[in-house]
Amino acid sequence: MQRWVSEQAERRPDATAVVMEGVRLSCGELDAASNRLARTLRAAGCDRGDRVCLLLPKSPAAIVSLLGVLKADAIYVPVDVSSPAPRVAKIVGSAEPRVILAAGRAATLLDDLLRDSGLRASVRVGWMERAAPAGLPCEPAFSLGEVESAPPGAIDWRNAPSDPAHILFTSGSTGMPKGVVITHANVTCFIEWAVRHFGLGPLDRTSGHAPLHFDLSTFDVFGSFAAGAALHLVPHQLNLLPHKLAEFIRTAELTQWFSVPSVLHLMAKLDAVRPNDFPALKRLLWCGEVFYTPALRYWMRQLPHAAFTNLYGPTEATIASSYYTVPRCPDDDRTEIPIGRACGGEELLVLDDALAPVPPGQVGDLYIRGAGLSPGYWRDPDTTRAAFLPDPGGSASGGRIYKTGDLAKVGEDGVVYFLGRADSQIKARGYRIELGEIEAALSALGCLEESAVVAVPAEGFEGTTICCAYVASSGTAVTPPTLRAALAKILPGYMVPGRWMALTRLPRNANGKVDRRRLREEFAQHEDTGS
Amino acid sequence: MKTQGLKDLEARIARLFAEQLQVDLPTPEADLFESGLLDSWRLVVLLGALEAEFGVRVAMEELEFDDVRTLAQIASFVAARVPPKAGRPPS
Repeated sequence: MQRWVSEQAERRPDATAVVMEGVRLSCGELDAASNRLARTLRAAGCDRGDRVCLLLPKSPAAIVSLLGVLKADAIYVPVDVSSPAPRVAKIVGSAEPRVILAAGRAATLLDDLLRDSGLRASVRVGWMERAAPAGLPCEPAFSLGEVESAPPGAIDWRNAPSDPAHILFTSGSTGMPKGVVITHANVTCFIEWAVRHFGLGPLDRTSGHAPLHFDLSTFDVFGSFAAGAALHLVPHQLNLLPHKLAEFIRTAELTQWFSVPSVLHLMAKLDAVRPNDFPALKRLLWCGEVFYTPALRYWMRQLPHAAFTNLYGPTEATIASSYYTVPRCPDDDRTEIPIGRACGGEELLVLDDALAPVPPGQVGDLYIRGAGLSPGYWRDPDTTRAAFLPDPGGSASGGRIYKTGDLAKVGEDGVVYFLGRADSQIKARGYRIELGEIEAALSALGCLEESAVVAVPAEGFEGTTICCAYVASSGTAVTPPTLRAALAKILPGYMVPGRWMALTRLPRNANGKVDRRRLREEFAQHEDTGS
Repeated sequence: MKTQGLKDLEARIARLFAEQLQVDLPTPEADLFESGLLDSWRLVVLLGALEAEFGVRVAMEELEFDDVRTLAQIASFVAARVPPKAGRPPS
């Protein structure tokens, strides 16, 4: 993965590699800066297979960092710096990093993390700005000043295609985020296919919209490097103002915009795209959620010159496993958009409970086989065994298939359609959330007898509302505001339920299990349970 | 030094956050965006609530990031647009 930038730097050292808010790095500068960081990391004791946690806001320095980590033969673990400290601590604790690279507002997070004396003794901190802020709980091993004085020349790396390149932590149903281990070969297989299939090249200007702890950003970053395209990182705060996002695409003259439906829906709802807007745009891609057809039709009407491609695939199968380029603007809001056909090196399988293929048109469980399959979850063989099964069809791809947890059917046209989830994982505003993680956090509060979290469709095409029914422990005075405030200290904002219902006991079905269907119906019927 | 009027406004907007968005704000100066308390969907709801409460009509495309980054900024933004005498709680 690290060789692409070095190759571009050799051929076209002055070509733009990364741009953000007036800062521009050429291929040559990016290559040299990441060589310097790799040397600094090695001097700080980083070795092949060591983890380096990135507590960095999206920035050119963050891009330099992930390349530098790979060149040092280490594994980068990008961490969401807007998550509450206890959740960040779980991720960092599980990754057991040799080094933490941090900058900006991560100082407060570091302060919390390094109160743990075990971590303080084992980890070294690299501060990716010139001056480390006063009052850090430990002296950084190095800061950007030291990095910049390291030699910039090429550095020999020893990592192999089967080495892990990064670990991406996603919501885990037990309350512990799950680390998905992704290898160099996982990424290069997808990127090489995608650059070829989509015809990305040195004249392209691509978006870096997804946060770096999202799997999709791997395509933005490494797809651009492989193609020699200029990566335009989208400042995080633009997500608040859809018209500013449109202005960004326009001003940067992007040729590729890779986004998530929650953002595209809102841009459509607010009519933020003008007719024939973004004349340079060749392709719009989305992934992660269903793009509702009415919003898709809006986009396709506004931008008749652009291609629209749906990508589908869980983090466990690396970036995307299937694609579908919408052939023409659908003439009906009810048209179903399929997830399409497998990307190069991948296969989609729709199977029944006995792992036999189901006939076209029938619903089955969606499995993925191929080069994108992660070796498994970080230090979690049980969860790995439950999701990555022996391939009933033989031994291609290391003989494994990944159970996505999605339901699907193969259409008469041979393409695959997504039909929902088989479990309690949901997508809300682009985030993949296990409802079990929210329930685990509620139970950890210690003031509830019991609780259940369900998701109900929100009005319009806003997606999903997270709803919580709870029974307070006797003698405690809990209210939705106190629960919300307590949860916000341990869960990211996007996981905190928006609607609440206080009950004296939870409804149960004949098996004694919480009747989640009934709870969903109750929430759907009572629109006035907002607070 | 904040005027009493601005403090009252902050309190009323904080109540809108709690009632309409199910979001409890820690302090007037807390960064709502970085802490994940405000996203674009909630901002749409908030603008509707501000219009209903104060008669202040704001189009999303007129907004700058620094108009809505903190409760204090939202209150100043609203204060600059509320016509004098309007938007007071009924006495």
